[in-house]
Amino acid sequence: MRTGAGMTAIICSALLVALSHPAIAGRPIPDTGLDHCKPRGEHRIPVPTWSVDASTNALSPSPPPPSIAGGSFVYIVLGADMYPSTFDIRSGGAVYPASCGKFSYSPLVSFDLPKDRKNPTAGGTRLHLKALGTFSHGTCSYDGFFISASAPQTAQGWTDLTFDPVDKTPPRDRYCLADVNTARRPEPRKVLPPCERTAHRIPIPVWQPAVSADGELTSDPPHQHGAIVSTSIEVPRAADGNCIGWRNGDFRFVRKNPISSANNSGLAVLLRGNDSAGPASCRLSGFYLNEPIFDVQDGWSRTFFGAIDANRMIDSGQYCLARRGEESK
Amino acid sequence: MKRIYLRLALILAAASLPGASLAAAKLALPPCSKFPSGKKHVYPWTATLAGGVMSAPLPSNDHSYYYFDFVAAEDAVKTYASAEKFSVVVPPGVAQWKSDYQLFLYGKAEQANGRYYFTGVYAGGSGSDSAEVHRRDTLEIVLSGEYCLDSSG
Repeated sequence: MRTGAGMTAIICSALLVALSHPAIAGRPIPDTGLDHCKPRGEHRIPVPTWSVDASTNALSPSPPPPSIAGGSFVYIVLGADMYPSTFDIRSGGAVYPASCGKFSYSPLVSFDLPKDRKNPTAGGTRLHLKALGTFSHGTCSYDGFFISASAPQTAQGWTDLTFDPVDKTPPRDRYCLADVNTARRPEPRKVLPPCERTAHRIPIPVWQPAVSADGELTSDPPHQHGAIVSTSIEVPRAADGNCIGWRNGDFRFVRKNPISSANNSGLAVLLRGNDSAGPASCRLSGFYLNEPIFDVQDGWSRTFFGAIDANRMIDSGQYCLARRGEESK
Repeated sequence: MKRIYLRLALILAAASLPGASLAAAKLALPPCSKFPSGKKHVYPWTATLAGGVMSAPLPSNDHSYYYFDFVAAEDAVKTYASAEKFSVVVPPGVAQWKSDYQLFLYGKAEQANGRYYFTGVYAGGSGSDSAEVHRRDTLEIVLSGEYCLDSSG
């Protein structure tokens, strides 16, 4: 029979051992500059927090990555062993052994996160980050805001996820920090009422073009500064597995000028957010706010659509869904 | 007759900024009611500034929020060390004042095609020799439900 004091000492020792290895213990989330999301009535967009223990002797399997839409932010807290290393550094086509913070720029660091650590061939997530690590107590840590840099690709049970670093903290008035490793709580999906059933509301146009293999849209977007549009676009995957038009978190499509004989001028349409990836295609679906881009380059003008929070828009009580064909008034 | 010439000059000055307004403005705000609704009124203001000519007088000082669709030639805009501060000199003649009047604009602007584009909702006020306006977040203005668009003039 152990004494109470002896038992306490054992528990404390076990805790100290666990906490002495930051990657195992799961480091606390540092001050990110964002508020934590309110459990209810939160109108800001939650930024998922993904805490990953990438050490060889991690006690639990890596949590799955949060559902990541293009252009959305993720806060990643990752710890990995240096000895033996569980990752490699890629730069200029060469692969270097793990090193932490020895680069003057952010190299591409790749981590294998198997679903089942006892059976690494069963697949999992391959995480690629452009980041500089911080070395402490045998662990290389990568913390910060990132943005997805390419569409997730899955082959032979492994999903490749690539993230670019974000220079600035996302704006506090528009984003909040979600709980660690929890998916965004699904809020009941609200529906915008059709304009026929409402009076004195602003009609939101519906734009549903198709996308060709060249990234060409079949119809013009209703683009006017400060206007909101409801969009649903099915984007097929290209031969390389990426969805057509995807680049650095944005989708870029074109509407060529039908009058130009050179066929090299027109409108470039950029969309960010509200996207999801499936095996054969990506889908852009939801409400977007149009913002102008005035720069015309080589005959191409551009327009930008940024995703907006559908529930907040609907809650404002100012809008209704236009019938198709009535939208471009 | 003199008035007609002045009007013609202003129209020509605006036309000399090709592509001045590439994207038509259609801020997703409800029109203001004639009756008090508690909503803040946003007044549209469209102007170009080129060759020392302003195509429209500055908006009235009676209001707090304006929807700017303002395009100024690059050489008419003074920039500052702070990337989001600009100023233009509004020449006399198009409004009540007799000497040059300075308009300070805070917030992001787009520089393209030899011009600066100041597009969005601005809030601020004016004094006797200068005015100062600050750009507001378009998304916040649109979704808050607290604003309406007043095109009554």
